[in-house]
Amino acid sequence: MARAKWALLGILGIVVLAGTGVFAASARPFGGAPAQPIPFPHDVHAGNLQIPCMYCHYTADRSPDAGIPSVQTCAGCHLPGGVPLVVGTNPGAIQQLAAYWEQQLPIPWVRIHKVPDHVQFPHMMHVNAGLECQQCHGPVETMAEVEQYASLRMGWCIECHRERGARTDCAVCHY
Amino acid sequence: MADGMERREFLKVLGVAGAGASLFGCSTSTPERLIPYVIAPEEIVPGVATWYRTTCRECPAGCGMDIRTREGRAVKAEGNPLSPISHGRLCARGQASLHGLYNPDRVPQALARAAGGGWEKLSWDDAEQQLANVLQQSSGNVVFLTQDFSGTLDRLIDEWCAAFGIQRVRFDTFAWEPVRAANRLLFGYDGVPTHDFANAEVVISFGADFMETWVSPVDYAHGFTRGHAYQDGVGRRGRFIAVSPHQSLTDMNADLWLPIRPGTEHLVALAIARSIVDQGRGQAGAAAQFLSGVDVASAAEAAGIPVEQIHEVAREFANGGRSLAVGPGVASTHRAATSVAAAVAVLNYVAGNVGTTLRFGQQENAARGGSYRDMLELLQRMRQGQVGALLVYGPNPLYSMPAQAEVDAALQQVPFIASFSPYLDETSSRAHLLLPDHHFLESWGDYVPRTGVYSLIQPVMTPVFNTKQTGDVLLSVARRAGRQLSTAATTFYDYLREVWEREIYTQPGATLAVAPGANGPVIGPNAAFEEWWFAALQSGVVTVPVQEPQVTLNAAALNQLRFDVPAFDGDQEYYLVVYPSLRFYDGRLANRPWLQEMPDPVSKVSWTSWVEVNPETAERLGLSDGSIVDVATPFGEARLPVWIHPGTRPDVIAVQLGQGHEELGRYAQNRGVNATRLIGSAMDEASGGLAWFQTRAALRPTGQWERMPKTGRLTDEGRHIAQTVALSSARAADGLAVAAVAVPAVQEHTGGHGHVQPTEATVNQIQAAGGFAPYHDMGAAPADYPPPGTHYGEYSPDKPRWGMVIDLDRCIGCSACITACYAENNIGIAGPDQARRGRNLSWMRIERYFPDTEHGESGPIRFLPMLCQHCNSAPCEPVCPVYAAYHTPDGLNAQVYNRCVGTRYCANNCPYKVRYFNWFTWEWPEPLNWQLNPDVTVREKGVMEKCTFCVQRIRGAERQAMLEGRTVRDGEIVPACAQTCPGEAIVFGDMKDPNSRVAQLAASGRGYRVLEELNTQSAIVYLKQIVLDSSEA
Repeated sequence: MARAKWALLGILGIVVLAGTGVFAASARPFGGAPAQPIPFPHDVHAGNLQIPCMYCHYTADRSPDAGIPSVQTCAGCHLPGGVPLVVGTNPGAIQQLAAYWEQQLPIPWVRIHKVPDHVQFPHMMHVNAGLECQQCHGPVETMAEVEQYASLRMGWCIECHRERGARTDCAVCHY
Repeated sequence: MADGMERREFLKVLGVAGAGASLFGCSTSTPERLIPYVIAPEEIVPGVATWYRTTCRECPAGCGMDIRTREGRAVKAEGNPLSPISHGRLCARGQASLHGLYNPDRVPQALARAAGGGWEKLSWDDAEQQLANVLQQSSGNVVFLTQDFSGTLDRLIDEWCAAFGIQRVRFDTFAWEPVRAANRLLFGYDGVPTHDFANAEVVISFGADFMETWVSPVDYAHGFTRGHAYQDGVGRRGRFIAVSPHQSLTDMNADLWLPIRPGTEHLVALAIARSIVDQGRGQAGAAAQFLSGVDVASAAEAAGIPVEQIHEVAREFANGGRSLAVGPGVASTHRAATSVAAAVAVLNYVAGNVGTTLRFGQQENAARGGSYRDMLELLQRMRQGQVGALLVYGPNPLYSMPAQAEVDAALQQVPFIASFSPYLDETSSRAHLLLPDHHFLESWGDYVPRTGVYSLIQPVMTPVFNTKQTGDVLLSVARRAGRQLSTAATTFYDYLREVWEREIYTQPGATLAVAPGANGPVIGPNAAFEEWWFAALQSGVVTVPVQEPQVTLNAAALNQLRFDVPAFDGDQEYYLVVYPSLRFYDGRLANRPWLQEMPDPVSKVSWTSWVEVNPETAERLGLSDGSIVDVATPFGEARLPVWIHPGTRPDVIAVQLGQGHEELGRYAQNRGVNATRLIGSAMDEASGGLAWFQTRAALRPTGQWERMPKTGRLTDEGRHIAQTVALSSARAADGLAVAAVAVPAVQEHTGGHGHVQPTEATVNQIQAAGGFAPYHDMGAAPADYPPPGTHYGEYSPDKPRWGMVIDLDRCIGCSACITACYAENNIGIAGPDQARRGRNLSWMRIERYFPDTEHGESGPIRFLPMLCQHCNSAPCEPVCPVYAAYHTPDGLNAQVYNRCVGTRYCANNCPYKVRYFNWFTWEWPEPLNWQLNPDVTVREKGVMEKCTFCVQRIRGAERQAMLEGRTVRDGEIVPACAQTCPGEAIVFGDMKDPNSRVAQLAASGRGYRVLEELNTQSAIVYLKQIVLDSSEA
């Protein structure tokens, strides 16, 4: 009887998990690269063109938030004088950008990196401590579609904090 | 489960399945979006606060204000340190101004009364055109009813009224008519002068609640504590004497309370003046002849106080121009209130205070309102159908005037009413057209809080609703109606700039307030207006030097006033005091949930009304706190719960103004009683002000009882939580010369039973009984941290030990810190039902202790801010099964919300009772949630929370220091409570740094720690409140 119950619960668990794709093991441990409203190739911008990260993520060294570039930042290069400047291989994406700019609408980017709830993460402290963006975000300059690179779990944070002699007290991040 | 499966195993399997299910849930939900700016505003760095300077408009005081905004939303209000009115501080009302801005019950757009009685949405174009049409058609009988705005807006309204031929009537609920009238009669000066409390060593108040609502409460409370509180090492300590039949919060801070018979304030004031002259301590001057007719003995008898007390007070008060008498306040405004004000003026004159602590050169703005009599005349004309259209901007007479004034009937006779109120209050809900004004935090403008002080108002964010600044509406309506104004400006902003360029910029001596050594605006003397204007906006305040005029006393005018005891209506047993609310002012702020949630500083009751009754009276009638009584006056009746107030005479009962709204939104409506419904419309005839204190009342017990939302207890039950020390002892401890008083002549509240340094034996005893005493290092100072024996974590001697000093001689109990804490730390609003169950989450509370007469105590009323003590040896920490409560290396008692599972063991074990449990996930109805501080976690159901010493501010300062390659400076970290405290009672810093202010203050001879005998080794050092030795009085 006991065994039957165990089996039943186990099967139930497996069915539920299968439905969620947890068992669909892949090389992309943290959810992969979600589709973005405009396919923005970081490999082209940060890789080929060597645009510094902080050209677009403009507050990473002075704010807890890294900063998401305004549509104006995109338009500055791609829509000089309001005329779409088609570069690269995806003119459709530039047309999409032009449409957002024309209607003065923000681009609703899908969030990829998010530290868990109850964590205060200041970008500027990490950037100014001399960390490369890639240490947490991975080789973004090679990613056509950005995906989460590190686990962003507490153990991962602590490991680095220990190595570097940074504070590991709970209330440094949790308050 | 008997056959093999353990409960835990079952839960484990279920847990896995549950996790799977929740993952499944995630994958179907919409992904989180990052919404960028289309065009990034230059002044905003996302994640970093931007500050704007403006001026508080929650009451007529006009405190300079700094608003912290994040990503374009105002999240916190603080005082502008450059403002001579706020001194960088705010009261609870100023703190709660954000709840006015984000109030979910604001009028969202222009509305017109629909045919069916509801509201019809209007575009601003249509609304302005409608108003213009009405004004075009009904010329000659239009009235514009406003409060006193001062500054440029006041001027525009005058000019606009002139262009349309509209009559303007000013009305403020509290316009201090008696004080103005007395000054007009005696000094030929129509106004309220500035009171310099900071230089007054002796203060007498005749019912003026100058720490709460009277004229300029933040400046006055700030000045009062500077002039009154004990100065360590110097030994100077002021005296404060309150003369009133009923103690307000202000009076509760007095060193001596004279509970006089109602209506005898002027008699006592004159008797003191006469006594000063008789003792040869003052100059009677022009008043000599008048004072010669004053009989001290009969005044003392009429007031019911010993005649020696009058002589004693007179001896103290004659202090070479360094004393100050104030009054009357609303609570003492009876039918002879102008006589009280005149007697107070004579008293100041005799003591030589005119021109020293009483400055006629600087007139307080609050004085310029109209009068109650003007308003009655207007209502009369309205009732007679002589007013064709009424525009209302500011006042809410239907709520704030007695029923006898028949505001309702008057409004019904007016065919067209337009209101500019941002809220649907009693009066504006009678309007035909609503043109909601911006909140002041969305507006341009200026305010002149006192002569020579120009305080700018600028928008701190884009408007929350589709409202429009009334200045803009007036300009637009004038244009539509083709009326000529003196300006071509099309916006109020342009109009404001024109006025400033023409009149303020060019004033000789106009100075931008600049903080010494701060990187404030530096501007040359010949700067162009444009440059000067932007510097002025950064500074917030421009001052112009003012000449102190020579004033002479016209003693003959005293004969126009009656100096006898005024009449009171009715023959019932009790005199009824109605008094203004520190929280709601005249009731206009009752829709701010923070202010409703904040316990009243005197009664500690929140969310409702109560009637204050003397303990003897209560005992005689068999009443206890919460007993329901009927209060009946010749003018009305109200059913109220009783709160027993030892600071009330047996023949007096008191009801606070501000509650009992029929309109004004969800937080204000149908709570408590509107006290104006209990009084008639009688005036103080000499001034034309409403006689608030005019009637007697009967008290009829109903036999019912209700649990009031109330916190705290009346006394500390002999536990000596809030301690006092005699002035002589404090001076002796400071090594200062004192009169040879070996034993203080007064009772000190110093230590209680068991208040000895705990010994090894007591600790062993506690441990044997299962109590908590983790280590044996008795009586260590807050700086002794980390505690010996702690070998884990990052504890090291070079870490700071954050601590706090709270000077009880500076705490006036005003509770501004409480609201500041709510604002900074996203504390949930529990509401009346949960508050009744004791579930409100006020991280900081002010304990208010009356002397425990049952235990033979005497002495002053004591206020004690109680918050997490951040104990070295914290009882809450070892009982947490999940290590959510733990100690940080820098000495904070931290609460890790994501660990907390809500066992509540910590709260049970906390001897200070400063831990609060979230029984619910609290709600902030849109857009109240816009105010939430993004730097602080919003806690949810099931989590314990408490004061963090504003850890987000500590971390912010640490980061800033780290980025700049330095250590944190002393005074750089200021928790929200310390920041706003008008009395400067709270100091925060590193206890381990011997040069820090906090460490130096902690070393004061007055220092003690609450419940020290429990060996919690808390990080908060309280400085004992001073009691005056009778020998030194």
